[in-house]
Amino acid sequence: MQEIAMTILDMIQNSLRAQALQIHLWIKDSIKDNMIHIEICDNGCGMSLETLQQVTNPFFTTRTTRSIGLGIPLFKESVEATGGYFQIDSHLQKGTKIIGEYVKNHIDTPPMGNLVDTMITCIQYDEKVNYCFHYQNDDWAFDMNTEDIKALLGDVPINQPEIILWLKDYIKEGMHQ
Amino acid sequence: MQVKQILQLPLELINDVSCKQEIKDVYIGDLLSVVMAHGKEGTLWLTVQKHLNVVAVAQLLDFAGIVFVQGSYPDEETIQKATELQIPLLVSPKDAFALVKDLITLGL
Repeated sequence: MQEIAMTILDMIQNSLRAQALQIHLWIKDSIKDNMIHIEICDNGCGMSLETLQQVTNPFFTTRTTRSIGLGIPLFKESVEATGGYFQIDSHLQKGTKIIGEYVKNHIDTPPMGNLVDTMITCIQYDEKVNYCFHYQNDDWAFDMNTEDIKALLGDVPINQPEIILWLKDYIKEGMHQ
Repeated sequence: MQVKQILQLPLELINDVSCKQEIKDVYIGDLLSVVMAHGKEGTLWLTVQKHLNVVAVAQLLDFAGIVFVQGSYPDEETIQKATELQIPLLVSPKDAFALVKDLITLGL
């Protein structure tokens, strides 16, 4: 992946395939600590220990349409190529947590890309799924929980075009863009 | 042109495969996601990446073979998997540009 935001989208797609209804995305982008820390945590169906041990192998996939799954292996490789670390924990019926931490000033660390678009794409995909988003850098932090927004919206679905447009501006502003 | 025909170049075949694959195209790339998006069937792929993921990409796209350039050399697990899948692995001390010039001279 050329951008970290695309990798995050790919990981969230895994969570959605695992029927997650609650997804936490935690990002710390810090020059001071020389790191870009990405954490994705879901309450999806999770994996058995046996599956978990194979998941970073590209020749393992749960899909039946093809025999190769490269999402997690590529994320791991990308993070480790910068001297960072990758970690995945999962429990059946509980969920999965993936951590990837890039070394920020390494020359192979991909650019962040467009996190606003990643968030918006996720939110509009399925209104039943809730996202808890946290972003911080050395100067400011931004938090958003779709449950809070849904409470304000009442019966209006969160993925209605007008709401999505408003949300996009809201996240952009929050992200100082 | 078949993979075995490029073995006359200063290249080393490092696994035990037939090399009868037809080379229809050549692609140079080190960012696997980009290679996945643009690689075509029958491609001879030149890269410095040597992770097992490289073999997965080659298998996924039905590549003719992989050449590790600039002395890049894969580990045993990667070689084994490629052999199992009958994907030729070649190594070259040359960089991708120099090797491509050789391939063009050969008629590719």
